[in-house]
Amino acid sequence: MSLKEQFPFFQHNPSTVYLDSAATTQKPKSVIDAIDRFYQADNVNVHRGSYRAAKQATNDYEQSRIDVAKHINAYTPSDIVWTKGTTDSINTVAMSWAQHRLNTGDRIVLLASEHHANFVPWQQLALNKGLEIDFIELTEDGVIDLAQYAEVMKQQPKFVAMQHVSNALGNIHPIEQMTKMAKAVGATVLIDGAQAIAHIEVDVQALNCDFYAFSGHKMFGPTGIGVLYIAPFIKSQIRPVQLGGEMIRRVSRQETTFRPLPALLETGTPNIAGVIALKAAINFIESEKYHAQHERIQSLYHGLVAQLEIIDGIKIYGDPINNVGVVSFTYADESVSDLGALLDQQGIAVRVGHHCAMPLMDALGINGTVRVSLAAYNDQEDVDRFISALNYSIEMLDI
Amino acid sequence: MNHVAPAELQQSVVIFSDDLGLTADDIVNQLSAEQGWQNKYRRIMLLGKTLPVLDDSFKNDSYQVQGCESKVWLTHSWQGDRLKLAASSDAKIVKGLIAIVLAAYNNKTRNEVEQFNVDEYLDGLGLIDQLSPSRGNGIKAIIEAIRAF
Repeated sequence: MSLKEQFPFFQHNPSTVYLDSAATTQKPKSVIDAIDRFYQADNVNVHRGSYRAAKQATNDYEQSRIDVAKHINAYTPSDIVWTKGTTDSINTVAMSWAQHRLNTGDRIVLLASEHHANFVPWQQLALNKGLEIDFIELTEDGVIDLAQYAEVMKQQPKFVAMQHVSNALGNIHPIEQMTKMAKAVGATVLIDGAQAIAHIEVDVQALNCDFYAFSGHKMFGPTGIGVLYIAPFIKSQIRPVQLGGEMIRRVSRQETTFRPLPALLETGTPNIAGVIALKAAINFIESEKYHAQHERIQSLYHGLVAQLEIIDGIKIYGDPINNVGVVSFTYADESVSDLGALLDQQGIAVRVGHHCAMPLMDALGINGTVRVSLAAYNDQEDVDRFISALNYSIEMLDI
Repeated sequence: MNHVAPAELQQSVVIFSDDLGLTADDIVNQLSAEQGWQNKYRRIMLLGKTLPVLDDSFKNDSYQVQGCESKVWLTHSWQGDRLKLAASSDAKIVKGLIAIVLAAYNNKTRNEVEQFNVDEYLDGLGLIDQLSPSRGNGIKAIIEAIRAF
């Protein structure tokens, strides 16, 4: 069975060329089956019942936490907090940690290419609390300006929030080195791993970051489930955000005592089906069949970039060398929305626009790009159909 | 949001036309004659080229229609009992859609604007199914802005 055949989406949409995996990946049958099986056969609440089915569901649910912890090499499964997704994970850090740990005049650091999810929470917190934000610029080659980063570190920031991989450009940032530099000046470090988790082996212990956030739906799992890794050495600084069931130890009329992490941040009945299906997604990306795609996709990607580069008028943004398989481009002075519409008519699914990174588009001096993003199920035929549809679109725009 | 051109602009730049050259009926005839998405899209982009040039001084946030994926700038003036419209976009397809909408609403009285059955008009063009949801919503946003003038 080819990898594509494991994804029912392609059987339902045989004429679609799906090149928008950076927005969300398609789901393998194993993930869809896990959700289905849970609601069909195994649906009970977790952590409560005294009966056998509840015990089984709780075991499956907690096994997923163990598998995720192993996958990113967390210290213990209790370092893993379930969230709705990366946005929720980052906002949780803002409310459970930054809100009471950062004070007026403190410096925080963001990359110029952050997704709005790792930008707006910090911008608003900075406005409310009087924090100073330093932005790390991208050089003309589209890579992070490490010299500027080193200068910014000299000002002893309290907090660094940075994406592992740019969602708009696909660039892999040197976060190992950057985290090390930040920790050396005593900063707390959050990594937005949304675009990395499906492509890069993440080792949070080696990284030594405080927080690592990612979404299930960008790693072949369901929507509505995400992960926030919280390092053991920062757990004592975490305060609860939402109050209610699950997260309490004892409640009396006068007072409440809370359970430790991860329960402290997992108030209410969780997304049990999402958690259980995430385990299936982890199994998929840990499979040999998936690993075997890595080199193939990289060579498919470099072929795609080479074919784009020879089209007169195409301008590619970002660093296509050190990249997870995303290429972002504009064509002459044509609106990217026209290109998106004409590609759509030819069955090509790509993302056009600012990709939730408007400050980056401002820095690049453009309104948006066409973003093509590859995943393990893409093949040469997808790339060929895309290039020929793009050439046809360009022809049509010459009017 | 301010859709009224500042007084000095209205005096110095002629921006409104009584006659855009095409009526709503012309547009229905032209577009329904086109077969296949390629020809329809080509015709839409050609319609965009018939729009009078919108002065760059209108291409800013004050005139931008919210809810459109592409940048759309729209301005108007009531001259006598007639609504005069001028608009443009940075995208060729959207510019064509603007030409389609303006053909229906420009130089019309308030009563005509209110009475015009825009859903029937767009249905007759066989267009909405061809548009992505965001572009479909964009054209609706332009129409709503015009009907609110």
